[in-house]
Amino acid sequence: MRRTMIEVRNLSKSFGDVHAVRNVSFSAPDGLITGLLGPNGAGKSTTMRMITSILEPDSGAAFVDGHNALADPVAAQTRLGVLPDARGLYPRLTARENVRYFGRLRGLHGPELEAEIERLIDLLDMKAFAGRRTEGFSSGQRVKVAIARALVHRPQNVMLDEPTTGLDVMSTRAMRAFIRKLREEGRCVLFSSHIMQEVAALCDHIVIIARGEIVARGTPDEIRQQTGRPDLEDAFVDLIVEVTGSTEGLA
Amino acid sequence: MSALNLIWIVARKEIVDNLRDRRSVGNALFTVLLNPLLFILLFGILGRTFSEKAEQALVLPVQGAENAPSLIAFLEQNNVEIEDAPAAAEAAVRSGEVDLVLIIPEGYGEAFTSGQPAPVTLLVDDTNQGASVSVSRARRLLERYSSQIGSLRLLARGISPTVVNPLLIQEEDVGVENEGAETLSLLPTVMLAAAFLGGYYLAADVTAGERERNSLEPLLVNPVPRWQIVLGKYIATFLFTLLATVLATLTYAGLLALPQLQSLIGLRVALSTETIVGALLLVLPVVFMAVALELFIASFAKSFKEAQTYVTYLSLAGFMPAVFLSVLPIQTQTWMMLIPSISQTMLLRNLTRGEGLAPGLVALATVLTLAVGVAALIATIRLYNRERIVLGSAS
Repeated sequence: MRRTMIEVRNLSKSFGDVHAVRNVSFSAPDGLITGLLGPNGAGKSTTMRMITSILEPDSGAAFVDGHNALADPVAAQTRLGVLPDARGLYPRLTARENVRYFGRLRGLHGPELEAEIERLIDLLDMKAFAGRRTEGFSSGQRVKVAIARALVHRPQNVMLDEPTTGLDVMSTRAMRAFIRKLREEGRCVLFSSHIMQEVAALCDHIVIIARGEIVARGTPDEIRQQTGRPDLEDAFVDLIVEVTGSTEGLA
Repeated sequence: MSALNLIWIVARKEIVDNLRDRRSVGNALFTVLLNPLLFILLFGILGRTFSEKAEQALVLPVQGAENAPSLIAFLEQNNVEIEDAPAAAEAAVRSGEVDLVLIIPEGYGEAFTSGQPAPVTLLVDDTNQGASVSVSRARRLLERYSSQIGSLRLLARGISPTVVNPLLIQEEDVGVENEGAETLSLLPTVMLAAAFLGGYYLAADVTAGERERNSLEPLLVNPVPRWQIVLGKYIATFLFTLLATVLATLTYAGLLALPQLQSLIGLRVALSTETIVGALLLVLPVVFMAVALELFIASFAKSFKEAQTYVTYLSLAGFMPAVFLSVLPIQTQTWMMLIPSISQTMLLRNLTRGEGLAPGLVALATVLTLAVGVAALIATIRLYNRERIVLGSAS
């Protein structure tokens, strides 16, 4: 058994009358890619925001390496690298400076920090624009900078909220390769998407969420078995329609 | 990683970020530096317009001018326009048609040449406030003429005129009507305007602006306690506001020392180094408080624009009392020390007039102002510890 690195237990969260997340439990272990799959508005980002200590759960709890995200946010956040849904950069700082700022906030400095920044610039193919101010960057360039600053401290646990949204085909392929590389390094990767093919292509373990609730979970094979559908895409659509009664929010 | 380190990392990033925003920095500095010039010109020219009234020729209706040609000549030399008095002189004065009338009777010449007191009559209406400047000018001129003639007569008899002047009365006007003091008490307006306006755009930018650009959530997922992030943002805004306040004060002092400006506004005043340093120390707590209040209010706003609007209102509320109190001749009272920014206005006024500062009042004003600042800062940190800071004001 691998040790679980990101875990949520009976997580619930409401905004007014809207139950954004209802009694959600799952875990994402080390060395695997766990996909959080669901239509837009299913509660994926809200769940992730409770893991990053940005939102307070109404009930239940989120843990990173065993540290409660609500009770001890600094300890949980230290072990986590996050690409949130909000991925704004500082437009008047260069790409490199954006990454450096977050590196410093993570306690890195000096040659060690600079070396890590250059490594990420290399890895994410950012050389051409690393020295430019981020104002006017394409969405692909923006995501790369946002990922570099999220991973500058080499976190063991990585959480990516819809990392391929707005990317062109080439960037999407590069992003998938990058996520696989994180798995090869033995990290715990939790990523969310509303695109079934993407999750199917990448994930070892899938958690399907709709209307704030988990509707299915398991490996891609297990999900095919559960639904009796040989095609994952069909299985996903069936599950969503079953719960929500419509295909609204599906890409 | 120490808290101080993290606070400074945040502050330094905000400073660099802000310095690169050339347009905003330029605009803010331009406003802050232009304000002193505007205030001096506005109040200086207004002040001169009032004082010019005294310099205008005094129109003096005279009855029987032909009886005293030398007195009339003296008056005309002294910027008095002699005109014929209306027929019904008393009624004209009572109705306010004329401010005053000088009556020189026929017996004047005879009495004058024989060395007797020569009678003249000033018809005035004491209840007519508007006439008081004219009346006192006319009275002063008549007294001067009288004493000049008296001195000449004594000299003619070989007696020194000083014998009949046992007192040497010197009058110095040091009251609020003194023009120099009027302009000097613009200092509170200049300084408080800078304290409240010097960094307001930055306060809005680092709070509502950061959220609007979607970089607040990525910032907050870093393992940095929120109070340290707030303090970092606070320090950056504080330093810029302080810089703006110092620059505005020095600009104001420098402008007052310019001869061209002095002659334009018709007065000659200067601020000593001690006064400038003392004034900055008095205003320092206001800067501390203003920045904290601006950050707090801007953190509530849904957008950068909204934040700017709120903070502009706050700034106006912060320094408008200084504008009014600079112009109105109100005495310093203890209760005023309870209201930050009003207290500093009064203290600065006392300081520039060289009236001396009561240490107790300074301490009271300073402590209360700092307390408001600390409360606002704590409230801002609390706000940043709640999840609504990321969600906006939605929930």
